[in-house]
This record gives sequence, C-alpha cells and structure tokens, in this order.
Amino acid sequence: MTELDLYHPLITGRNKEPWFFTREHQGELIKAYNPVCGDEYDIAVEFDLNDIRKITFSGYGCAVSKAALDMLIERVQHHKFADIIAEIEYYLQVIEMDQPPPLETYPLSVFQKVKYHTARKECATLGANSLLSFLKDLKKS
Amino acid sequence: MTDQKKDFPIFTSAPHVYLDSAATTHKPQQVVDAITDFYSNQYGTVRRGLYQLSSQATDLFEESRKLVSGFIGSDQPSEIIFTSGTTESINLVAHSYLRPLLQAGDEIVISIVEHHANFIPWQQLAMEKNARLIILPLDDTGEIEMMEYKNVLSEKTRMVALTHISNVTGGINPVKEMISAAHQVGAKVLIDGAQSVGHMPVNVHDLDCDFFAFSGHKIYGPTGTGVLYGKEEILNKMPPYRFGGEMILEVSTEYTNFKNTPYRFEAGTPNIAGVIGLGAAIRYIQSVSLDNMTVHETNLTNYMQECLRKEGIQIVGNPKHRSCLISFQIDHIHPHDVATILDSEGIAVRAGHHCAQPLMRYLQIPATVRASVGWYNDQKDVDQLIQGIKKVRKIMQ
Repeated sequence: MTELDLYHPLITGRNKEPWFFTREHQGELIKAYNPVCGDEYDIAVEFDLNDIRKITFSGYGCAVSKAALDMLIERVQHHKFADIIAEIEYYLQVIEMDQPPPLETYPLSVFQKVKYHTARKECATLGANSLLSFLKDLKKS
Repeated sequence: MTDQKKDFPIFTSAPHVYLDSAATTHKPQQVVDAITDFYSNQYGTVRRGLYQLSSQATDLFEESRKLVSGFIGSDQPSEIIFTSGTTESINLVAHSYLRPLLQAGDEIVISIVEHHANFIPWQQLAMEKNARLIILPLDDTGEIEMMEYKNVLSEKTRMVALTHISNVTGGINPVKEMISAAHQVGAKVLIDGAQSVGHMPVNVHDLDCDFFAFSGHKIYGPTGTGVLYGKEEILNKMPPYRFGGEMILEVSTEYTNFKNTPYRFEAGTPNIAGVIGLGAAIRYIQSVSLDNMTVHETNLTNYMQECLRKEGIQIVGNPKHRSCLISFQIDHIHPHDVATILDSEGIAVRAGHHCAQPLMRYLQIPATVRASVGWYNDQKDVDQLIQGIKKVRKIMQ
C-alpha cells in the first residue's frame, strides 16, 4: 500500500461488519451529519449514573466514516466519561500527525491517511466530532 | 497523448484522467497565455483610464463581450452582462427582475432537477413574498413531465427557471418548447445553461428565452467569470443589483441616474483578466469548432454509457437526449469511497449530491458518482475508468 491508499483491510473489514452498528437504540441520540455527502448517523449513548455504559450507532455513510466511528466506539466503550473525551481528542490529533502511532498499538492510526485526502478528513472525524461535541456540552451542564 | 490533450498544459505537468468537466474544465494554453499576456503586457483598468493601457484593456474587455454575444446568438453585445458565474447571474435576475414585481399568490416554476443555484434563489424569494414555488416532478426516465409542466402554467406564473441540461442526469430539457409555453401565459423564462454552453450549440435568439446564465470556467475559461444574457428591453427596466463605480450616469446628493445595460449591472472594477480569458476560451472553441466538440463528446459519452452498462453499473436517469455526463452508483458502495479509490488510480470524478439535494431526496439516493467528458477526453480515459471501477469492486467487496 502507498500513502495514497486509504482503504486498509481494517477499514473495509469494519465497514462490512461493524461491531457497534445496531438498528435498535437505547439512551440519548446524537445526530452526526455531513452535508457534503449526506452521511448521517444516529449515535446512541446509554448512561449508567454519571458514566457511559454503552455506545452504539445506526445510519448511512461511507466506509471511512462508518469504520472510523465503529473503531472509535470500540476504543472508548465502557470507559469513564473524562477518559472518553481524552481518547476522542487524541484520535483527532492523530489524524493530523505526520508520524502516527503504529497500527499494532493504535489501530485508529489507519485513518491518518486522510491527511493525503483532505476532503475525506470530514469522513474520518464525523462521528468523533459529533460525540465530542455532545460530551463537552454534557460536561458543561 | 491526443492532440486535444496537447492543447491543455495540465495534462503535461500533471498527467491524469479527468472526468469532471461538468464541475469545471481545464484550460487550454491559449487561455493561460491570454491572461498572462494581459497582466504582463497590457494591464490596465477598463472604461475609466485615459491612457493607452486602459484604452487597450477596454478594447480587449469589450471584444470578449462581442465574442460571447456572437457565441450564444444574442442580438447585441449590450445584452451580455459579465458576472462571477451562473450563480450570480441567476441571483441577479431573482433580485433585480423578479423581486420588485412578485406579489403574494404569484407563482414561480422550477423543476426538481435544478442545481441549488437555480433552486434556492427562487425558493427564498417565494418565501419572502409569500409566493408559490411550483417544483416540476420527473417521469420514469428522469425527464420533466411536459404535460405536468403545461398544466401548471397559468396567468399567475411570473417566472419559469429551468436548467438546460441536468448536472445529475445529463438530460437535455426541450427548453425551446418550454419557453414558448411559458410565454403563452405571459411568464418570463430563465435558462440555466451552466451545463449546455460549450457542449452544444446555443442560440438565445432562437430559443427566445428572456434570460440565460452560464459560467466561464465550465467552457475552458477562467474561474470567477460568468454571463447573464437578457433581452435588452427587459434589462433596461430592471434596477441595478449592486451599486458603485462605473455604473452611473450622474450622482448627486439627492439622486443617482444609472447607465443602461450592461454597465448598470457591472458596478466596480470587473474581473478584467478573467473576461479576456473567457474571450480566449471562446476563440479556442471556435478554432476547433463547437460542432466537432459536440460530436466528439456525444460519441464518447455513448461509449462510456455502453461500457458502464456492460459492467452492470446502475446509471441514474435514462433521458432520451443526454449530454456529456453520466451519474451512476456501483453496487452499494458509497460514492465517496468510489471517488477516492479512483483518485488513487489517477482518475478524477465527482461524487456527492452535486448541489442537487432536492433531486437526491426525490430519487431516494444520498449521492452518486458522476463522470463527465470534455473535448480533451478519449476512449482510453473511459477504459481507465472501467479498470478503476473493477479495482473499486475488488477492494470494497
């Protein structure tokens, strides 16, 4: 694969068989929408007192946006509220890195290649930004 | 490299398969040279300097107006207003022609295939004036239903605004017939020619449209250039769209008198180099012959359609008369994934809603891939697209 080849098997695999994609939600729904391409997800966050118990999603989108959201949820699932915010912020930093962490230790590095496909950054960060915005608002309130 | 490609320097400096001419076209050397030469040797402002450079610049600028006028068959150059593009041209008509006369209960007719540029201005104006926006549906082939069109026209119709060629389905609307029908009820007609000019002969006099809008950058000219054609007797009755220098006869502390068209609509220093480049683009088209271009692009589009069908690709819309673009979907693969993989193979196509979200919702699809051809494309480009599609399927399935 070259630096231009975005479609690593990690991405195509998760696109075909996402782990956290469901048609039946519980909890609070967050809308993630990209007006450029019409990608639209509902991200469902279930709470357990002050912590997040479970995150799932449904909707429609490209392989990159779907796989990125699915792998991010895997990363933050069952974590503490503050840790989830930190994880998402770290992922958004990785997208901009010239030398991202190796895939073996941080599989989400696979999306750093959107750096070479500027128009696809929005795809790789759609779910992350929507979730982060929701959590930060929640933290304020 | 084909002879046509040799005329376009970008194919030498950055070789690629370019199938996005419906979005914007590459520029022939003649256009690049005209702009460079103007800035290097002839630069001056227009219509206000008394020195030689300004005088020459004015001559070059007005020469472009004459070229545009002749190219689209208008009766006189004064009917040609230079704008920044199709979008501004349409907004000018909505704001300056229709807004002052539109009343509550009046009707504006558009179609569901319109580009946002020919949709939103009318939608917003209808909302502001409490007028009714009638949106024509499509038949099974993706064409406007003519019976329905004629049925909606009435004495309440103030404006009909239609695209000449859909930027999604590629369908060519029978605009001459539609203009005639609108005139029978006293409505004025604007044609969005963004996808037709430069790809087929256009004669605004023969069409008898009241307004016609198109962009320079889609006909091998520079970005930031556009044209609004309007019948002179209508234009001279329209109030200016913007105010400023060079569009006035006299300004006092109490009042301002404006020049006649086209200058009343060209306030401020215009895009002089761009307009001169647009003139060069028209000269280029004339040098290779628009008829040759049309035949070449039609043949190539037919070939592309045949190849896509052989691959089992789902083509969006099946118009009787198609221009040089095809929208399609590959299995259930998202168009953005298709476009990115094709890009990695050096093939540029467009993916998305093509600034036609109402049409996408109507067709119940979120987006499509669109391949569009220009004068510089050849069968090898289409063959590479088909090879690219095979790679897309291999990666994504």
